[in-house]
Amino acid sequence: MPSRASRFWKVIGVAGALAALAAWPGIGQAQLGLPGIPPLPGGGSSGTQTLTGQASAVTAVVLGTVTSLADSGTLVDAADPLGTGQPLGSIPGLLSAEALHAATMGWSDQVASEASLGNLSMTVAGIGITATTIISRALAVSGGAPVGLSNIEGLTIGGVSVSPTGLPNQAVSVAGLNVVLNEQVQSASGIVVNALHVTDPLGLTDVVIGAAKAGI
Amino acid sequence: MRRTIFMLFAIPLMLAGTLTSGPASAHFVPAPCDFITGGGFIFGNSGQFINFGAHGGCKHGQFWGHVNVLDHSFNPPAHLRSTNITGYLMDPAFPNARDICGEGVVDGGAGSFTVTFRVRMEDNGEPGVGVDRFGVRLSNGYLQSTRIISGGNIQLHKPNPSTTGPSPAPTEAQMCGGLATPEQAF
Repeated sequence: MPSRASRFWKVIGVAGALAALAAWPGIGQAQLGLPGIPPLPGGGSSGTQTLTGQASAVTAVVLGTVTSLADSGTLVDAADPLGTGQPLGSIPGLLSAEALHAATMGWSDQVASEASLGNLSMTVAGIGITATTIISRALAVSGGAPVGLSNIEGLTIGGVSVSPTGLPNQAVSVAGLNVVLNEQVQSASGIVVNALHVTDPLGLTDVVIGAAKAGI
Repeated sequence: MRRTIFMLFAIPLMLAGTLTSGPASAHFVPAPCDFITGGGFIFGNSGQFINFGAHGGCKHGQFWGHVNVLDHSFNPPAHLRSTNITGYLMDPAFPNARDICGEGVVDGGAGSFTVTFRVRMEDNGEPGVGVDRFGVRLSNGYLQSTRIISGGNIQLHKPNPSTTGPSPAPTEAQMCGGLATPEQAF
């Protein structure tokens, strides 16, 4: 799974960088921001606590175009929790969802992020995917192991009910689709939790539903 | 037409005895203030799906959050979207619960109009399904009294350096426009 996640973030990174450069040709490198949820930085040893937090209900890469729905933005300060929400969200030709919400917040000793949505209806490579509720959470505590959690309820793929085990990185392959439930990517400084990660066999579509990142 | 739909939306609930205001009670801004977050669904009064996603709290001397609720008893579903958060309260009788009050817009099958809202979110442990609770009341008489969630999860978070509310704290009536908590069916 790490290799798939790594490839996903690389795709997001490259597409985001290209989009940013195209839209704002004068932008300085230090201001470049990647769409979606970039991976956590490696564990630092500077002695100062660096908070990292972000959540998004949907991040999709379709033919290199990145679209995010209900993205909290990047946590930069424990004194500035971030959150967003929208009643309805859709990416034409790909998905629709309801009650999207994302929040990230920090303390001096921990970061918590959460994303959720309801009534997901998605079609990837002709395969329908539905879910009643999806929620992801990431918690990073200074000096402790990061914790990731996903709740996926009412999931069907290709019309077939799929039961999440609750274990991290549950892989499901249906009609060529690569699906990972409760995907968790850990690093020395925290964790990224992707409740539902779907990629088509040709790599043209890469969708994360319920992404939460927390690092400290 | 829109007014007619609105009246169809509001009147039955009013007739059912769901009034928009109730007696003031000892609900207040928690001190120190904190956060509550969550998403999921409940089954509504007529068994329909009601999806929600919300977070609220205090931030830098103000109230903070977003609330979205969709009721599938309407076609298309009626959805509440918060536009301003005006209150964040706790109820000593339900220490794990927080109420978020604010102003919002209802769109969809119920018509399009502005409302004052009050939602209750309660974190009673993990997993959220079967233990956490959610309810919503609108100023037009709409009420889904607080009940166990059938999907999702709600999390009450501890305070952090930013979670300071307005000083002095407004009254419950000022925060919620006279709307009673959705805990009670009055």
